[in-house]
Order: sequence, then structure tokens, then C-alpha cells
Amino acid sequence: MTALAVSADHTTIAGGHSNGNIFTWEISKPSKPFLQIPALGPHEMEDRKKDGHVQGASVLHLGFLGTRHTALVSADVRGMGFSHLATRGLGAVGRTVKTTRILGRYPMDVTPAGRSRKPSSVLAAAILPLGNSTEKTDSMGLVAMLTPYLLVVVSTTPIAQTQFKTVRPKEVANETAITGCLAWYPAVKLKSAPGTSSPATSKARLAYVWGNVLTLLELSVVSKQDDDKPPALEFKPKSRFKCDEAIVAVQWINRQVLGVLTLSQRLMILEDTSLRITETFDLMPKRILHRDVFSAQLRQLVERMDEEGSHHTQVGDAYYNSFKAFKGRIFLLVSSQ
Amino acid sequence: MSPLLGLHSRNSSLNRFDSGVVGIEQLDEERPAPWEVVRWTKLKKISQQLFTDGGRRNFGNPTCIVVSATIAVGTDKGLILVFDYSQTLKQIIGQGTKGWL
Repeated sequence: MTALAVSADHTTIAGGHSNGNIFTWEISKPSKPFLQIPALGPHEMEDRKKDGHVQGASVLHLGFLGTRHTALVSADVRGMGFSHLATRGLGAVGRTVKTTRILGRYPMDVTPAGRSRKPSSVLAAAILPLGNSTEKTDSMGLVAMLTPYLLVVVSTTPIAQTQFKTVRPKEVANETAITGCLAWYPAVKLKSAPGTSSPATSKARLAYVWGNVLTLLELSVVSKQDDDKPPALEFKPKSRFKCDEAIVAVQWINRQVLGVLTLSQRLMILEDTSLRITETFDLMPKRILHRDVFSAQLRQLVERMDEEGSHHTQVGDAYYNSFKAFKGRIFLLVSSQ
Repeated sequence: MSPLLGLHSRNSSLNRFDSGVVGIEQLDEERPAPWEVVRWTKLKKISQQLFTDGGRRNFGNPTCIVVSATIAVGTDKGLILVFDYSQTLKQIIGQGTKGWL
């Protein structure tokens, strides 16, 4: 199992596998999967009629959309991302899953110029979770995905549409390991100041990292006249933090505090919005589990970069499955001797 | 082409959990307090139930965790183990599928 997700109502769990298959289960009925989303086999790739992970592409990231347990997003090691929307049916019988590609290209699809594609992978992916307030973005199924080159935010319902795109900043130090991670904090109701009637709502934020550079984006819904059209979104960079080494994982501890794990396994606590370091803890003795998931896929990228003169000689291991924050607490999956 | 620190992960044998506990009692919007005390507690009951030699033979090695109302652990044998916060094993999911169709 290479990826795991739990639905917002805690009834359904999804698992992604190293062969590209995805299954979901109702937690109360563990013996039989609820949905099965198999990867595309070789014969299905020849005259491709539907989308899906290519067989053998490890599913690295998984998430449920909104409150649904029949809508998922997944991303794999080869740089492809998909949304999976299951239709209604009687239980699991009669449900079909409509899979749509939202990121990346199939290996046999040639570029317009006929060149071979840059090697890519999805270093990080996460769905904007629902907060405690109703937002216009709740029905859009927003997901952020980060490759070594691009950050994209895509809305997946009702149709797949790119909402935001940005490239890796030049500020990322040349000698840093290739790492990428991201974490959303949803819009939440704020306690109203005494004397005011309606509580204010904070805006949703996305913290994303390439190498040693962390950037904070704030998401605003542009107010529109026409309620029939989907909302227009604006992503504004608010602040940036440059670490002295590569950052391998990031999680929001609460609305104003970020926990950032560095390559040498220091945990830094950053205070929003200044992104000032308030605490640092050395977690190296804890031996947080990290797995080499990307280096095979990105080997060509490293070689190409070395030829071009930059010195990205390392591809960072994956830490995102071992470093999670929930309700103000941090959970670590560690290895011991 | 993996970083210097990548070597450790391949030798992991026994696995255990750690949980971080924040020392501050309230998260007040008007006075966001920095962390004062941080304590790390091991989720021993989970480790003892599963991540012994026998547990790993049956369930495999843990590869990922998801924390929400439950603590879910995925293993390299394609199983998902679901625990509640009192560290009781509530469910084992995925036996018999092994990721194939």
C-alpha cells in the first residue's frame, strides 16, 4: 500500500497500491471493497478509451473530495493525476467510476515538438478540506498537485478545470535536494470580536514547498454577479520562508502555526503570517520513516540538471506518509532497530 | 541517487508510533501562543499489538498513516489497520485483495 485516505465522515477508507490499483472500503464492511479502480493494463493503453493510472505506476497520493465517499483524487509516481467520480448505484453494484486525467501525460503521448517528455512525478498532492464554514469552494473539489516543475490547483467537479498554476521559484537554492510538499488550511469561522454580530471567516491557505523555499498562498473567491457560473478564484502569495536546508514535509498545526520538517529531521515551528521560526526540535533520534519513492523516476532529471551545471545531486525521500498533524497534535510514523 | 539519510529507511525492522502532544491548553485567536511545552508519547499499545515479529509477518510493515477520527495504518502487504484513540484495533481491511483485480 502506497497511499491512504479516509473520507470526511470517517465511514470509508481508500488505499492506493504500487501497481496503480485503487480500492475503497466501508470501514464497517472490511471484507469486500466498495469501489475498485484498477490501473490500465497494456491492452487498454493501445486504443485508450478511458483514463486511469498506468499499470505499475505507484499511487502515491489519495484523497476524498468534500463529504463524498464516491469521489476521489489520486496521483502517481510518474506524474499523472486523476479524479474518480462514481455514479449512483445500489451499494457497490451498478456503480461505474468516471476517471478523468487532471495532470500529466501518458507515456506514449509525444510532445508537439516530438521531443521526449521531461521526467516528472507528483511530489505532493492534497485536497482542500472542508472547514467549519460553508464556502463557495466546497462544491468545486479543489486539489493542489506539485511536480518538480509546477504547482497546479485544479477544480474537479463538475468538470476538471485548472484554477491556478505556478512554477518553481528561482530562489530555490541550487544545491538543495529535490523535495516538494504542500498542505492546505481551510477557511474557518473566526470568533467574532465583542460588539460585532456575524463572525468573520479566515481565508483558505495553501503552504507549498520546493527544496528550501516555502510559500504561503491565500485563496479568495472573487465575488460575481452571476450565480450560475462557477466562482472565480484568486490565489495571492502572502509570504515566503527560506530555510537553510531542504524541507521534506509540512503540516498545519493550527490556523496560525506551521510545522515544517527539514531534510536533517529538524522540526521547525513557524508562526503565520511572518513565518518566523518560534521553535526548533531535533527529531533525528526518532527515526521518522522515509522511503525512496522518487529517485528512480527522476534520475534522468538529476542527470540533466548536472549537465546543465546546477548541482541537484539528490532526490529527497518521501516523508509525507509519516508526518501528519491533526487537531493540534503531530503524529510520526517511525522506525526503530 | 538518494540522499545520505535515505539509507536508514531500508533497514527499518520493528516499528512504533510516536505522538506529539502540544502543551498549550487553548488556541485563542487573540493571543496565539507559541508552543511552551512539547511532549512526545509513544503509542505503545498499537506497537505491541502489531509491530512485533509476529505482527509484521501477518500484516506487513507499516508504510503510511492517516490520522482523523481514527488512526489508520497502511502496510506493504496491502492491508489497512484501523485503530481508535484508545489504541484498540477496530478493523483490518483489505485481506484477500492484495492490490490486484
